[in-house]
Amino acid sequence: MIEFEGVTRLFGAVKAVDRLDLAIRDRELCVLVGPSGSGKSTMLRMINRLIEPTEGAISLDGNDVRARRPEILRRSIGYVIQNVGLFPHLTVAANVATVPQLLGWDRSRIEARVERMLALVGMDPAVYRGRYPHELSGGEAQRIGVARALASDPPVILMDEPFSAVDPVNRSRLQDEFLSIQRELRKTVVFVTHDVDEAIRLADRIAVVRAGRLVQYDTPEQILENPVDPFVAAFVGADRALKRLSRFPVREYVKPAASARIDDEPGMRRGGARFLWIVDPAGTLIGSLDTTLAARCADVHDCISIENIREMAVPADASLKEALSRMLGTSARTLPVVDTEFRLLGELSLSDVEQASERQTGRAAAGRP
Amino acid sequence: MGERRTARAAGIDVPTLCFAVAGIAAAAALPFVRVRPNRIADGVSRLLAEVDPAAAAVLLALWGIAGIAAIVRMAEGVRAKLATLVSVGAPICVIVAAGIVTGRIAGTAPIIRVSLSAGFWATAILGYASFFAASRKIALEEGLIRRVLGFSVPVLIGALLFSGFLDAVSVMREWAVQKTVFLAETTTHLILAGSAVLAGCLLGLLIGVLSVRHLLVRRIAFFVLNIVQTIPSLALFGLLIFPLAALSRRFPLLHEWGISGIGRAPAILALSFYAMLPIARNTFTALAQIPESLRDAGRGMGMTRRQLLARVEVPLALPLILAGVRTAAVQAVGNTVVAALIGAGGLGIFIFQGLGQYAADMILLGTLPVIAMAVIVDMLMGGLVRLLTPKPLREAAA
Repeated sequence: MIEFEGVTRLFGAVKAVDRLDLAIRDRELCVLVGPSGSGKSTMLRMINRLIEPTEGAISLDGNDVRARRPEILRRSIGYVIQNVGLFPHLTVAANVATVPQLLGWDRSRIEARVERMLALVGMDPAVYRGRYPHELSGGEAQRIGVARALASDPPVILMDEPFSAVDPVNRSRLQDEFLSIQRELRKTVVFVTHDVDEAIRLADRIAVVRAGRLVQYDTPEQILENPVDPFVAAFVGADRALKRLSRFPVREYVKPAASARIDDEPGMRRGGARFLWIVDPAGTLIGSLDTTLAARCADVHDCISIENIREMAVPADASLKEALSRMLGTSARTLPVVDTEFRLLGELSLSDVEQASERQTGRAAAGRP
Repeated sequence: MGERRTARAAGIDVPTLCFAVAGIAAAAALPFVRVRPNRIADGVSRLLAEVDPAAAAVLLALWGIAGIAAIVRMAEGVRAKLATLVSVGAPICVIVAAGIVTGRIAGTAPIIRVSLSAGFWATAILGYASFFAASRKIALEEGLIRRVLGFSVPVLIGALLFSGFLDAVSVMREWAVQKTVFLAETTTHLILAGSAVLAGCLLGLLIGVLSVRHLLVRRIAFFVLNIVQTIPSLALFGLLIFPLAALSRRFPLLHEWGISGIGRAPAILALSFYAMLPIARNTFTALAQIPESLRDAGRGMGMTRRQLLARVEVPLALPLILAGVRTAAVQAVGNTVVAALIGAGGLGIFIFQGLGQYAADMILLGTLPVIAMAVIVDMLMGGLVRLLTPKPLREAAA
């Protein structure tokens, strides 16, 4: 548990953090969110003593962080920053090995650990171990940044706007990947962002910060449902219902879908379902077929619609919010759900999204104190 | 790739053509040697064709080949190799001719001085320039050929100097006369320049490091150093005479250490000042350009101040700092010449004495080693910089 007790930090006469009391529970992902200049980064940097509080105390598992030398403390806390901060003169492997080296691990242990970390963030060690940072894309670099923070297996990870310098497409992929890593490792994560959508997507608990003060500290559902004051309400926005959808992965709402292989003409002609998803022999999604039209086609292949299929297909890792957005964008009420290799997993319809939304609203309302 | 080469081969190789035309003009019209009855008397100039028709023919043929190759269509690789070969051949041809010609003429009487004239120097310089222009076009995988050719000329010159083949050239006669003094002054020159660079390094590094942390140090130090850099070296030597002389009189101990208004002390002091600026400036820039995010990441992961310096800051800053030392060292070798004027010694002695006596050979005896020293220092430091630049930074720079 990370505990702030009456913590204040002054920069000159400016109160960056003002009498903060906050307890971050073990194995939870806590997002500090607020407008820029609200003091959230300062709060984060006080945990590993990059900034010292002017008043008050911060404790880690009951021990005051000031009990240990800053360097020793920091080696037990993972740290990821916005600009990644990979050392340009060191290989990917040497970058990931930074903290284990500072801790004096022996070489074979470090090597094994580096391999595991690279695999964990989805980067082939054989390919990337010897690369240098300038040979990586922004997304790859940030993955290495995460691997580096996890390398010594610290119980606590601090992340300061880690994904905000990455383009939106990569950002949402990095978020998905990080969530799945976090589901596996269950670290105590303190994550700073100014992006409410990111906060709602990732957080177990959100701390909304304004002008150095904690305004509301609650689960994303509660924050969306019961904003404590007009500031929080405005900050999470009027599209709260939509934002809530970003918490639900498509994976959990997939329904089995009627499909036919492209080389199976009788299968495509068979009635039953009005629409069929057409896949190739490997199961990769190719297009869709309206069976009522197919009856009138001389060659059934001419009637397969491949238009928009890339826009319609929603990855299983995406959120219901993204699915809904794709439905509106393609005017399709039912979307095919695919895995990372674009193989058909099932489908998701608008009514599924509606039901999920209603169910969750009910749950949040029931959980109200 | 192949298409691009053939397309390119259609054009005329302008640089090589220019060098060839200039080379032919120099060989045909510029005097090759100057023959004087003794060391300081006036003399007569002779063309290469007059003193050694065979060598003149070879030289003209070499440049002629280069010129024709630059116009005629051929594959670029072949043309580049041909031009490189000719560029190396021309200086070799004139050096060998110089040995033969001077030996023949000066052999008649020991006090006759045969010095090399514009024709020789022009051919040497044109060959050097043409070599660099042409060898750049040789494909990278054939770098060995390029290197072997490039080193062949200096190696040959060294071999000829040691073998005595060039002993009849007037500079070498001068050297034979001044041998002992020459070696002593060369040592002095190296000591002066070396200690100045060493002192410049220590102070320059200190100023550079402090400048990153303290704005005031940066303002004052660079203000002073920039001004010093604009003072001509002779004036700086002169300005230092008075305070140092006063100090030396005031504190006898300093006088005992050999510190006075003239001599080595003011020379090293002034030369150190000049060496400081490039080193301090590069140290400051090198440290200041390291992104703050790297320091933040390093500290946030638990590096101590010293670990951050050793693992992150020094490896990233070293190449640029050494580049500053390189500049300072090359400058110091040249600036030290002037130190001879305030009694510090060094190779400048020969230059200034030579100027006073109107003895060109003596001037050359001072000048040529300074040039050679500067080139060697530059090459050594360049190699050191490459060696100490981390691999990815080298690639990024290339």
